[in-house]
Amino acid sequence: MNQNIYRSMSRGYFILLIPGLILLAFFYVYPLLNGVYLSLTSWDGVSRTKDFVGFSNYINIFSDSRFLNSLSFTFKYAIVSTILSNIIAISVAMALVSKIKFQNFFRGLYFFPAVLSMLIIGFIWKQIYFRFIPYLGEQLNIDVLQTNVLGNQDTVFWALVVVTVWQASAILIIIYMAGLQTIPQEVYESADIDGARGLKKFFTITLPLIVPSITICLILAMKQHLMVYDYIVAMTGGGPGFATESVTLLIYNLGFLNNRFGYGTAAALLLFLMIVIISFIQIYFLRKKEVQL
Amino acid sequence: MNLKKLGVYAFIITGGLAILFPLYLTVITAFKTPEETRVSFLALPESFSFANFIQAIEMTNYVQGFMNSFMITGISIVFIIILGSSVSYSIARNQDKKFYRVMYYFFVSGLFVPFQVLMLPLIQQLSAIGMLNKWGLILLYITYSLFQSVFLFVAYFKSIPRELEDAALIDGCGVFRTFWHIIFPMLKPMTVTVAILNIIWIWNDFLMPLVVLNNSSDWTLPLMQYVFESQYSANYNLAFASYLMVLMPVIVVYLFLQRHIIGGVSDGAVK
Repeated sequence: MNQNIYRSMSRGYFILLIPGLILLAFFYVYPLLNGVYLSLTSWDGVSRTKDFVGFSNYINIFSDSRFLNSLSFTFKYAIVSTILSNIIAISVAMALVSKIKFQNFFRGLYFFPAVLSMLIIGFIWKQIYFRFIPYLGEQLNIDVLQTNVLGNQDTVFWALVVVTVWQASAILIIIYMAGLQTIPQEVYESADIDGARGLKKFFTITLPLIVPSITICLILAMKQHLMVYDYIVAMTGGGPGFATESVTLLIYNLGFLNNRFGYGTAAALLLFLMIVIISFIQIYFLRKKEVQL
Repeated sequence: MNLKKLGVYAFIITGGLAILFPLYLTVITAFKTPEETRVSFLALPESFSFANFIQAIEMTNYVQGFMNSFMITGISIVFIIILGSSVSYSIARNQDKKFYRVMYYFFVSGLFVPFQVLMLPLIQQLSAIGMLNKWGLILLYITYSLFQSVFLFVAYFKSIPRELEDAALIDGCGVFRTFWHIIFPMLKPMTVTVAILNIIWIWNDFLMPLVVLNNSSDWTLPLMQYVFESQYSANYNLAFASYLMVLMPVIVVYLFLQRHIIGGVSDGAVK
């Protein structure tokens, strides 16, 4: 190609990149770096002066029981929700790809929760827990259900997990269905000849072949659940007490309610670090288990 | 039909009912009066009265919330598609250069950065330049959509042959015209995927409008709902009518475009 055309082309390509670069520099790189700086100060978010305090926010945070509680709640919630929603999604996806009638209808129904607002779903379930579950508890004579399950330290965790699994399974089902449909029928036929049955067939054939889908689903679900915010705000507001204050809600509260801006930024960056580490661990371990046909 | 098949159907139908139940409760409660609900939770309403809906529309300023959500989503999507595809074009066609390979990782790195991490410094920054309004919010959506859309579009470019555009470029058709007239139309399947993923995200998003939209005249539907939630404590029939109103646009669109939406989301996730 002629030199002039080539030069004007590389200019053209670069110009196409510029608007994106500017936006990222302004709304992504700058706040991220500024956040790193602010996390080293004791800034309250309002005053003019920002006192540099070094790493003391990061040191103090690990002896702050509010942060540690919040972290342990968030991890427990994310791990339990991730495992349950993935087990349910694999089971439903396997049922849906087996030759059933109305497959498209059921697929549409099961995916439906994924397009709905998490906040509104949280409000709807809050009303269900508040009005319908106590009513059901009375009818069935189950004591635990007769009180508000969201107001009880022991039951609120599971109440949140139920809503999460109800909605989060939807997208996982679609991903697992796509993964299952790539397994050629011959693999199962030869397994039948070898005499593999039921669960053995599942663990030796199906599961290893859908490892790529499992990787995607675990990372997707874990990241989403570690960032839980909408359900908490809609259903518990972090209560009872601080029992369900997720890390993201804690960041919000520290920054906007408690005037501890620097400290809140430090908490946010720690959460970020954890998400990156967890994602890489998941990718690393599941890569090893991948099987090629 | 054998026993195993029967088990599969029983399982799927039970799960389906579990999905429908909260929605069923939402719809019937929205049409009932408090007295009817007191008599029975699960029964259908005696008559379908729209009184709850009319009251909810007035109380939550529904029309304005809808218009705001619609406008914010619509404007964002147009720019997301244009910017996402053109940035990706530039990156995908220059993978032989180190600068553009670095750029790819730079754009995609944001996939690991949750909004909450940027939130506090970002709000200070927006407030300093007077952008805590719907325009600031739209800019944020456009920026943060790039992480995923660059990832998806660049992957899609691998499947688009270069012969056609090379011919156009040699004929003196510049980079921009080549992109717009030849490349962009060929991206259509991925453009639909990107549009669907971002519409679902922006329409339902709550946290970003909550921290960015200072002025109540800019509020989106989820934010309106959040603000008015405390006023429903006495009348949950009204609450359910209001929830249903917020979900309604999504339900209607889903009924018509179900196949495209599921296809789009699964393409987006599997890539």
